[in-house]
Parts: sequence; C-alpha cells; structure tokens
Amino acid sequence: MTDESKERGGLMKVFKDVVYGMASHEMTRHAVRTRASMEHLFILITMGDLLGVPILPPYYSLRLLPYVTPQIAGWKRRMLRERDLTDVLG
Amino acid sequence: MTTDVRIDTSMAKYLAEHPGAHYLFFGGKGGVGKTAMAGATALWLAKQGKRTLLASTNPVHSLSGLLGQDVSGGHTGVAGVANLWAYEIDTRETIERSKNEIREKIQWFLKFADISTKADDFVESATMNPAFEESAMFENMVEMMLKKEYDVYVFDTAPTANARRLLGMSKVYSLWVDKMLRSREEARTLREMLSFTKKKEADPLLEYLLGFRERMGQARRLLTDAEKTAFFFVTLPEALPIAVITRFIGWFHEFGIPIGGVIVNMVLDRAALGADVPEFVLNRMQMQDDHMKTIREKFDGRVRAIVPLFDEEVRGTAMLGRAAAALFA
Amino acid sequence: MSLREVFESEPDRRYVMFGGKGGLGKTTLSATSAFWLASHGKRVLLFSVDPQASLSDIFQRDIFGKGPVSIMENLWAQEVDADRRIREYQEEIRKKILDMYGFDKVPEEIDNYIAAASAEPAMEESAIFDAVVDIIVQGDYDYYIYDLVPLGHALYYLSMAKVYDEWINKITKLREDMREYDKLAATLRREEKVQEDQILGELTYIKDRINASSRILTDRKRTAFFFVVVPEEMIILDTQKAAALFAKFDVPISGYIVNRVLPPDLGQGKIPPYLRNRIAMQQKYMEQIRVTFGDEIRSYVPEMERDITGLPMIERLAQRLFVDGGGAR
Repeated sequence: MTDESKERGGLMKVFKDVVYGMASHEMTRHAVRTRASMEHLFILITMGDLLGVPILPPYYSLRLLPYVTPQIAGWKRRMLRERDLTDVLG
Repeated sequence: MTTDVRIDTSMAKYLAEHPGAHYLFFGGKGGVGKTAMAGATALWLAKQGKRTLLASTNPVHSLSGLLGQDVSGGHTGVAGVANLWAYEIDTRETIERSKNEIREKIQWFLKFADISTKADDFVESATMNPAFEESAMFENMVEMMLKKEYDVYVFDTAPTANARRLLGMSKVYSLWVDKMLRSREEARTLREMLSFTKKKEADPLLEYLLGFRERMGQARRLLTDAEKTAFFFVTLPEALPIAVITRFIGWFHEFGIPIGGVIVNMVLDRAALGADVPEFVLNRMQMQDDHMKTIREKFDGRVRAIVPLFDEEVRGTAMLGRAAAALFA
Repeated sequence: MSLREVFESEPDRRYVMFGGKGGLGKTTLSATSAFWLASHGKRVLLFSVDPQASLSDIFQRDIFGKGPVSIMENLWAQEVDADRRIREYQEEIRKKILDMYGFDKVPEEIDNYIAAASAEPAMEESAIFDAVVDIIVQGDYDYYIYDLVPLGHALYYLSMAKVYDEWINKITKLREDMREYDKLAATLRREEKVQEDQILGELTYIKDRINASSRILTDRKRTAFFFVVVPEEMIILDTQKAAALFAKFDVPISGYIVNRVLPPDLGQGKIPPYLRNRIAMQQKYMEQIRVTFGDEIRSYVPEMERDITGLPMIERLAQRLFVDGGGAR
C-alpha cells in the first residue's frame, strides 16, 4: 500500500467514523440501555427470590452470584426505587 | 400393661398441668400412627368439652381416611362427636394467590424491561417447587393458629422441617428484611423530599416485608411458647422410629421448641399372651423388651403413654375412642 | 417376574429406587437389595438424601455426612448431610467472589444475600437434588440404589428435573439475547471483540448436570423404580394414586414389593385373639393387593420378628426378598 492510499484510507476512515458515529450513537445508547434492562431482568430471574419472585432454585442462583456481584447494588437500587415497579411488587 | 417404662406424667396429667396448651402437634417417622394419636387426642379433648379442631398439615392427608368422612373442604364437624371439627389444610387457594402475585410481578417486569418472553412458564416453574407447597401449608397453619376459633388445635404431623428451618434461619431472614426496610425507608424519604405534593405515598413492598416479618415473629413466638404449645413424638418399640424421634427431639431442644413428650404406640401386650405362643411372637416380644429399655433410658420421665397394638386398624370414631382410652389411661 | 429375575434380565438397570409412603420399609429394602447385589459381585453404592433416613441405624454405624463408607466387600453406603453441603457451598461462593474481584471481604450486601438465600425453604431441596446428581454422575459403581424421601417429595423431586431444565433454557436464551446486544454495541463502537460471557458457561454446566440426572431418572432402560406397599387399606389406595402420578411424569415403574406380610403359618399356632384378627385383616388386604397389582408384584416380604439392623439380619431379609419371596403366591 502506498503512502497516499494509506492516507486516503485514514481520511476515509475518519470520515466514515464521524458519519457512522453520529448515526450509531443513538443505536449504541439504545443497545446499551436494553442490555442494562436485560441484566436487571436476569438478576431478577436468578436472584429475585428475596423480593418474593422465586424462579431459579437458590442453590443454582448462588452459583451465578459471583458473576453479577458488581451489578447487584445497582439492581437492588433500581428494584427498590423505581416507583411504578414497586407499586407492582407490593 | 407390663412394661417397665415409668410414666410419671401421663397425657392426661400433662394436659391438666398445661391448661393453656392450645396447640398440640404430633410428629414422628412415617407409619408410627401419628394421625391416629392426633385423632384420639382430639376426640378425648372434645369429650372433655373443649372445642377442638383436628387439622392435618401432612401434604399426603389421611384425616378423611381416619374419620371415614370427607374433611378436605373446610372445617367439618365430625359425625356423632360434639365439639370436634376436622380439616385437611388446603393449600390450593394460597398457592393460586401466590401464583397470581408472582405472575403480576414477573409480567410487569418483563414489560418494564421490554422483553417478549411469556411470564407463565416462569410462574409455573416457580410454583412447582416442593418447598412452595410446604411454605403455603405452614403459612395456612400459622394463620389458623392466630385466629383462635377453637379452644385447642391438634395437628397431625408436626411441621418438623419447617419449624426447624424457620427458627434456625429467622435471624438471618430478619436481618435481610431489616436491610430491605432501611433501603425502602430511604427511598421513600427521598421521594417525599422530591415530591411537590409532600403527600405520603402508600408503599406496598414495604408493607409486604413488614407483614412477612410480623408473621414470622408471631409463628416463632407461638411455636416456642411452652405454655401454649406442645410437640408430641410418636414412636414404636422399634429401632428406626426411636432413632428418628431422638433426632427430632435433639433439634427441637436446640431451638427451644417445647416438647410435650413421647408416645409409644403399637406395643404388644405380654399379659394377653398365654403359654405356648409361637416363636415368632416370643421373638417379637423379646425385641420389644429391648427397645422399651432403650426408650426408658432415652426418654425417661418424658413418656406420656404406652398404647397397645389393636386387633384392627385405628379408623372411625369407635376405634379412635378405644385408642383415646389407652392414650389417656 | 420376581425381583431377582428383574435384576438378572435387565442388567442395564443400574439406577434402582424404592418409593412409597413413609414407614413402609423403603430404606430397609434399599439396604437389603444393595446387600444382595454386592454379595453377587456387583459394586454397589447405596445412598440416602433423606434427613430422616436411617442407613446409619440399619448398618449400626455412623455414616452421616462421611461420603461413601465401605460396609462390606463391594458395598458402600452414603448419607448426605444437606446442611453441611449448603454451608460448604456458601463458603465456596464467598471464596470465588473474593478471588474474582480481589476483595478482602465479601461486600456486606452480597454476604447478606448469601445468608438469606440459604434461609429459603427451597434451598435444602435444590441442594439435595444437586447432591444426587453429583453422586450419580461421578461414580463408577455398577449399581446406585437409593430410597426416595416420602412420596409427595419424591414426586416433586422427579418433576423438578424437567422444570429445572425449562428454567435453564429460558435463562440461557435471555443471556444469549444479552450477548447479542453486547455484540451489537461492540460493533457499533467498532470494538474488536466481546468479552466471553462466563455466565453462559455456568448455565450450560448446570443444564448438563440436570439433564444427566433427569435422563437417568426417567430412562426405562437404565432405571428400576419399585413401589413398596404393605397390606393395609389406606396404603394400597395411596400407592395406586402415587403410581398414577408417577406414570404422568414418565417414571417407569418396575414393580411392587409387598412388605410386612405376617407369616401365614402364624395363624395355626396358639396366638392371642388380637393377633388372629390382625392376620384375618391382612389376608383380606393381601387379596386386594393381588387383584390390584397382579403380576407386577416382584416379591412378598414377611414381617420379621426383629428389627432389620446389622448385616446378619439384612442377609436373612435378602434371602426372603430375593429367594423365598419371589415365588408366586
């Protein structure tokens, strides 16, 4: 590859990135947000027994606990503070 | 009956000394005659003029079979016996209610998280769990105890595992509920601070947790109250049933659950044996003597009754009357 | 077909279970079958997960929570201590969290969760379930013999395999969807690759274990499931009901064993009237058993005059169960 083409490739890349980035910013945010919601659902399903939603036998949910340890605090906060959610959870 | 097991405090004397004993439980290994002993006790109490409910907490009920009438639908008066009602605790309604609660929670969450999974599969799975029915049974039992509609409640099958778990774990559980309550309180204060109306909002989750802790506390207080509650353990003069109740009594002692005493059931009457009996019966008698010795050593002073092996199954109120006569001799 | 012929003609049926209501002699018959197979040169593991089980009492030595203990040549026995298993498991989880994140101590919130999860009523059951899987998938015995906990539990227990499998499938699907979003986000951000999801690995592990055991439990080629019944009216009725339920869960029933049959020649000796009445009662129900279960009956086992404890007594019972009792009667 010549220097020129390398440079053109670089410019094209920057250009593409900008356009792509602008368009994908929303999509990325959406994907990340959906992913976070799913994470909360996952924790609810596997560890929700203590909020009165028993689904997975506790012996196996404990097995998964180490992997979601960092998310637990956020999950609990969300479960407990989301107003309409708690209305349902009662 | 010719046994050398000493009975200082008989069933009758124990109940006379514990006039406040409203909750009597009968436990022991399967097949030892718990249902018959509970039934005989309930019959005897009813005849003493106490309004008595005989209730089964055994997931495999046998009260209807014992009494020869269907008592599964609700508190049913026992035919021909004043003051006696019987009931096989029905958990279907409780389970259905919990199912609906769980379904709502899960459905809401699925919607909340924008997930297109059907909640029903999860709900079915969650409520298929054996512990689910057991817990429902236990909750219904406690609810019944708290209503105080009868003078005495006699329970066929002591909820041994449940009581043990409840008492052993309630500390841990309380700790968890306390933590939850604190987070909830924080959340509520925060919301009230941010709210323009400053209106105090209802908080169903908080109420649920408070209610749950309260019920657990009540169950614990009732089950450990030596004035009100007594657990009776039924055994046979055989090795395995003795081993099982030894274990139970050990657990219960550890958790401070009041033990009413031990009932030895299906004992062969030596006096009724003539001379020249078959070897089988003699050997059986010899085995019984050995086990009665063990019972004397292990449960000295706590044996409340020795009930003979009858010539027919204890079924129907007439047979129960015979069993009661022996139990309260 | 006699019990012996079932074992001889179906050598692939290596997982042998005895079911029935509590107190019918399931543990004793399990131990006796294990003894018989072991004395015919098969390597046998006999185990029990029932906290009320009595293998220790039957073999007259404490084997509770000690892993497989050698009883005699070719025979090992094991009683699972579910409480201890749960405690050790909790420790394992704590350690894993410390290792994964390099914490000095487990965060309080997480630690509370671990403690509270163990207070869940379902914990014991699922721990027991896992213990059974552990035993069955690890060992290299010719036969695995165990007594199921009393009927209601046994049923749930068997149905759990299916239910767990469904659970895991749903959860795995959710996790896979999450991974798709991870990939999408990564592509959009033009990141090289997505981190490996260890949870998916864990879910696969759990699923494999559950599938292995559920296959074994409902495999007509490898599983032999025997119901124990005694000549009493209630027990016969309950057994019929249970058998129908088991059929619904696709559990293949290999036959019925009639236990506690009073020796027929006993009636000819000089015996007290109550014993004579009992024999008459039994004969009536024996007839009913023959009509109800017919050629599905694998053995008739007499009531012994002594407890079945200790190897000499087990050997005597094995003779009755496999040799004398197998003939048509």
